[in-house]
Amino acid sequence: MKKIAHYAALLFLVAGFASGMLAFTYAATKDRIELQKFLQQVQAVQVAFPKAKKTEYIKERPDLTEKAAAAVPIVQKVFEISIDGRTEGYAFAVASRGYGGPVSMVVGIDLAGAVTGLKVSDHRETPGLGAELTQEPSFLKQFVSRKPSEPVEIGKDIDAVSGSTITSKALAEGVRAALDAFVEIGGAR
Amino acid sequence: MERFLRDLVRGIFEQNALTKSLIGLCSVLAVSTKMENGIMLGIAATFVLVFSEIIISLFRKWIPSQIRIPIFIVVIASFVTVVDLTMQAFSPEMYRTLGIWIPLIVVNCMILGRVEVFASREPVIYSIADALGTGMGYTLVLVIMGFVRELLGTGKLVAFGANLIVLPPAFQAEAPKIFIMFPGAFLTFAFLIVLSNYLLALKEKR
Repeated sequence: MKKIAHYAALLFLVAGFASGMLAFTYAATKDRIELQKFLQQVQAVQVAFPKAKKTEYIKERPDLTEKAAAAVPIVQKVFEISIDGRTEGYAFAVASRGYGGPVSMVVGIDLAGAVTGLKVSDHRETPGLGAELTQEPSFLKQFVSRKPSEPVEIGKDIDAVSGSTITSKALAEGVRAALDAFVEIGGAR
Repeated sequence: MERFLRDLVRGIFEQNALTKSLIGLCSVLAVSTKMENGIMLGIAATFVLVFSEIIISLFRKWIPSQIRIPIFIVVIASFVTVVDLTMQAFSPEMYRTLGIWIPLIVVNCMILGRVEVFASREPVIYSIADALGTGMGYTLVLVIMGFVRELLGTGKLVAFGANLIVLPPAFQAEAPKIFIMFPGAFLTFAFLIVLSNYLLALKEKR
């Protein structure tokens, strides 16, 4: 009995020290991690929507996110791009299903409904195959200027890349979702 | 000093955790698609190893053998979380590439193995040597695997934004992609074991 109490006390002590150390590290890195996540998103939006050169042009719109996600569940965030008070377009953060897990991307769409660009921000695709595709300009170019009325589907108006069919599909699905979301928030033309 | 060096070198060559004991393999097979990944995971694992071995070795006399495993795991998991958070904060690009393999250092049997076999019995100074040696051995294998797989599989070697080696475009176009896929990991690793055993056998003969 005495032994058990001794062991329990010892384990308690060890766990206590460990928690202390973790709490300290967490507090020390928390702000920086938040900042990194924010910067990553802003950078992705700036690639997808080249006009949004300054950080203050980009505003998160939780109300629109809610509206869009209700109809298109893979939409995660909606950003509004407004330059000097004038809305220029929207950027949608979506996550579709790829070969190795979710493929997160940001799709920019201007007020006329045309895709301005696409930036993959996170993925687990096979290096050398799908992973290359996520930053292959000749593939990503296919999506630029697409409108909600076009199919944006592999085999119809988008060419898949052999060896990376599933990744190609994931990207097309993401852009399609963003276009649907754009229509959903009332930007249809 | 002599013993320090012996403990250090042992972990790198004669008793390399990967090519000799064949433990801690999963992360190596999965992550070695790029050399850069190997370097970072190697550093992370070495950090965890060194600090876990120091702490366990310092307190080895007070750790009762019946509850040693939970204590080891708590210590290892804490250091892994420290690495995890630090990497997220200061090297988000790398963190995204390595992803799940950083938290999974906790269950890397190589680390628990060295703590159990070495640090829980030996003085701190030799535990540090053992941890550094084992960590370097692990990193060495990761780097060699990453080098071979990335170079053959993609036709070029890129590390930290710089093109180290670029093979002719004719090769790049037809690069044997199998090397960066899973079978390539096993193939490369098998050749590495053969090479390591051959070199060690040569040394023995002498």
